[in-house]
Order: sequence, then structure tokens, then C-alpha cells
Amino acid sequence: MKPRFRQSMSWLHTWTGFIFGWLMYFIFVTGSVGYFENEIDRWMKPEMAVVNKLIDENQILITAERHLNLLAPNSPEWYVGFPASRNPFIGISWLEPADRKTNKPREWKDKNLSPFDDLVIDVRETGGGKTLYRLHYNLHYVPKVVGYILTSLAGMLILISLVTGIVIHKKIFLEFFTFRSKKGLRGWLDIHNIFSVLPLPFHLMITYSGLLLLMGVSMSTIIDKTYGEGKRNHNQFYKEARLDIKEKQFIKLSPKELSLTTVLEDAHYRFKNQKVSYIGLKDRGTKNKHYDVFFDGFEGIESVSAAEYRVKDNKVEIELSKGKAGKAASVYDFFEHLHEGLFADIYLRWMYFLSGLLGSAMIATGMILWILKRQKNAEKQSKSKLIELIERINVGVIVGLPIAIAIYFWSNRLIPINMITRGDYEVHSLFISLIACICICIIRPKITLWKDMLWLAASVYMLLPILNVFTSEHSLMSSIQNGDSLMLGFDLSMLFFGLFFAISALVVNGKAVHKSVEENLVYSQ
Amino acid sequence: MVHIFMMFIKNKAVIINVITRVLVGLIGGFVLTNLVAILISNMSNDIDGIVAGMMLSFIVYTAIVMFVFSTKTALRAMLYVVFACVVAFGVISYIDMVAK
Repeated sequence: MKPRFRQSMSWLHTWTGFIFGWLMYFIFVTGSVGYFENEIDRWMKPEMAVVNKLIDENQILITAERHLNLLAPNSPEWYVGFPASRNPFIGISWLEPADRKTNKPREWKDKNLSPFDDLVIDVRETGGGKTLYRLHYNLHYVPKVVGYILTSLAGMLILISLVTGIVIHKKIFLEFFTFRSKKGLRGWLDIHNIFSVLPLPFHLMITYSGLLLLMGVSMSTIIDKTYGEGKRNHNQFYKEARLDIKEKQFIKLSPKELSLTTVLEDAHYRFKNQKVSYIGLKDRGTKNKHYDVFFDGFEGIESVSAAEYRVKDNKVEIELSKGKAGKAASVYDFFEHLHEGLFADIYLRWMYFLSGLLGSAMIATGMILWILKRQKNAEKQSKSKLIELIERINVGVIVGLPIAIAIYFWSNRLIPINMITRGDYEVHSLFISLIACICICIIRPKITLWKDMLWLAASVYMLLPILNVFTSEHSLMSSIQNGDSLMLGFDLSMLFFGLFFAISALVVNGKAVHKSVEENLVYSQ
Repeated sequence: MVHIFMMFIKNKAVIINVITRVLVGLIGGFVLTNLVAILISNMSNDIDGIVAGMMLSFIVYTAIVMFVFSTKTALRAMLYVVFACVVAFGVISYIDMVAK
């Protein structure tokens, strides 16, 4: 390769990495957290009743149907959720149709049922894990399309940074094994390389698949070309592109007998190795009424039902999905599942999460490198002042975002339970604390900045399990006794993160002392 | 953002050079990517081509941006991209005409 080419790629790497760096960091961190959506949801809804014994699924269905009849008589779609490994609850959810009189848009509602007394449990209103993970592509405060476009742009820049990053390394694997633990630029560069190269396949996969998930927005002109502009035309495209291969067969059940109970029975009998996670009744009250059965661990965001029961020609027909019809659509499907990782068990899930954090660390160290390099070469007064401001904001974002996420959890317990739209206020507190962290970093003395922020992060995480004890009936002990592994896992993880931040603070502190001694020596000479 | 950027670049010619490349990469690159993706989608008659074109567009865009920033002069980068756009547009128009 020509040296000039590598030089221009190095320049491109530096600037594409820097320009949206903080947004990229935000996307990577909130996205990684999203892999524990269910676990976070459980902690943020402490009222939910965990099912930790085997219970009769038919009985659940009968109770759920009774409640749905009372709560949602006019709804076109009903779902009943059975306890599953990552979701050990009984849930009912339904689509509330739009009300033209009051101008209310259609809305999904869900309730949790108690396994002990067949009653509906009042669960606090909360943003939960869903709102938190959605931040990584909708950016919350901007209109949906703007969020998608900004995220796509950031994703594109990450992809370019990754590819140029690979190009500028002459000996990518050799450099991976060199770690110079000396202070300053070299050390940071080596750390940046480790964070980038070790999980490189993950970084490439997650960025590319993320771009694919939003391609309907970012690359919509290609749809316009054949299908025409407008939402309706695009929906026609999506409908055709997402077409599944379906295997159809008639079964012995008589159409009159077809109900939630008989569908569940048949699914149990027909798919002995699978565990039913959801059963749905769609298009209620129309001719097209049909039943959907979903299996544990196989549902996506655009969930395709695994089995569909409907009446056809006075017989009961069952439809099984066998993947996407188109070749390109199958590839897309594959990437979508890889990105979402819904199939992942707990170990793989942690791998996903840690890889995501390594990605965040890659971006953070890249930002630090950018600053260090420019600090070294800064001559003008105004320039070094600007770099200092960027450096301060950088600390505010890198440590402030984890703090803000912890504050999101704090606000879940501290905002009054009956407050209207408290879910929104949880998100507000996340962003307010992020901005507060940045402000603190701009004001505070620079020498102790990292240390102070890391201690702050350590304390907000360490205190979360204690907050849990005081604001709910859960504690580490009770979680162990009740076999509530999600709650226990969350509390332990928070302690672990707190510990991690505390250790980081100690390490940074040691370094700072070292540095100031060195500087003193220089001055005394 | 531009202000920050300019602080780190010394002379005016370099600034113009960089701004041109950014514009060519960002806007020209996006237009060319869409055209190339439409060309790819024309390779197969069914919906599969469109999905494939959209999926490959991100790789195409990455390549174009890398090209724009690696050519010797910004002017040359601009000319290449514009030329490629014209050719791609011509081919697409021709295919459309034949199809009709």
C-alpha cells in the first residue's frame, strides 16, 4: 500500500471517529444495556409476581381469558404470556383500538397476573428496559425519523472508522500482542487497539446490522424507485420483502372447537420439544380471526409467529413459518437476529453485553487519544483552551453516561408511584443527570476530575441494591429465598459495576499522584 | 463544529480542500450510493434485488468515502464522483427505457 493512502485513511479514521464520537458512545452504551432489557424491566417493576414453581398452563389461560374479557372486550388483538426463563411472569396484553371521539391513538396495554390468587397486579408505570434500549436508535427527544437518520449517520461513521482503522494497521495482529504499559500516547494507543481488535468481528457485525435495521429510512429512495413514495407504498414493499415461506396443513380439530385452550393443547401435543411463550388471538371479531403461537427464545421485534391456526373451508388450518422467502431477505433476517441476540442464553448474552462495552471503550479511548494528540501539538492559547473544554466534556460524557443510567434506576424508585407520566420523568432524570455531569466536569478542577467522577459512579451503583431494600420488598436475601434470579442478578451486577468504578478510581488516583510527583520533580529541577 | 475543525487546520487551501472532500463524500457519495444500489436492484427482477441493493449500499458508501478522501486532489475526487453519478444515472435511465 502506498504511504500516502495510509496517511489519508489515518486522517479519515481520526475525524470520522471524532465528529460523532459522543453520539457513538451513547449508542454503544445504551445499546449494550439493552441486551438486559428483561432483567432491567424486572428490577424496575418490583411489584411483578415471579412464578418459581410449575403451574398449569391451561389454568393460566382460563384466568387470563377471563381478565381479557373484562378489560379488553373491544380489542382486536389479545396475547397471553406464559412464564419463560427470562420472563418468569404471567402476562396479558392487548391492543386498545384508536378512539376517534377523544382522538386517542391505538395503544398497547399489558398487565401482570398473580400466580397465587388469579388477580391482576398493579404495576408501577415505568420506562423500564424498553425505553432505555430504544434510546440507542430513537434518541428520545427528537422526532422518530430524525433519530433514525442521526443514528444511521453515526453508524455509517463508525463503519468507516472501523474499516479505515483496519486499513491503517500494517500488522494488525502483531500490534495486538504489543502492549506498552507506559504512560501517555503509546499506552493509550495500545489500549485502543486491544479494545478494537479483540472484538472486531462483533464491532463490524453490530454496526453493519444496525445500519441494515434502519435502511428503510436511510436508503428509502431505492424503495421509492420501484414502489413509489409515501407510507402506503413503503408498507407494500415491507409486506412483500418480509414474506415468509409457509407450510400449510389441515388438522383434525373441528372449527367449532377452535379456542385458546384447544390451540394451546394442540401446540403442546404437536411441538413437544418447544415451550410456548405466548399465545395470541388476532383480528378478533372479524372473519379473519386466527390464533398465533410463539415459542420461547424465537421471537424477534418483528415477531413472526411460529405457528398460526385459522379456520379455512370449514376446516382448521395450521401454518408454520419456515424462514424468509427471498434470499436477500434471509440474509437480512440473519443479521437482524444477530443484532438483537434474542436467541442468546445467559452466557452468550453477557458476551454480547461485554463486547458492546468493549466497543464503548474503543470509542472512549479513541476520543482520549484524539485529545492527547492535539494537546501535545497545541501552540496557540485559544486552541489549548478549546482542547481543554473538549477534554472536560469528554470526561462528563464517558463517566457521566453510566451515572445517568444509574440515576434512571434511582428515579424509578424515588419518583412518587402515582405520579402521572412518571415513565417520562425517569427519562428526563437520565438526561438531566447526564447534562449535570458534563457541567460538573466543566467547572471542577481538572487534576481530580476522573477520580471524582469515577467515585461518584461507584457510589450511585453500589447504593442501588440498598435503595432496593428500602423502596421495595426485595433484597439480596429475599431474592435468594424466592429464587428470583433476575432481581438477584441485577442487584449483584450493580454491586459489581460499583466495584469496577471504585477500582478504576483507585487506579486513576495512583496515576495522578505519580504524575504530580513527576511534575514537581521537573519544576524543582 | 466547523469552527473546531478549522482551528486545527493551518492554511486556507487545506480548509477548502477538506470542506470540498466532506461535501463530495457526504452528499455526492450518498447520491452515488443510491444510484449504485438501484443498479444492483435492477440485476434481479424480484424484490430480492431491492433488498440486496439496500443492504450492499452501506459497503458501497464506505468505499466511496474512502476513495474521495484518498485521491490526490479534491477536485479530482469531485470529478470522479460526478462522472460516476452521470454514468450510473444514464445506465438506469437506459434500463428504464428498455423496460418500458
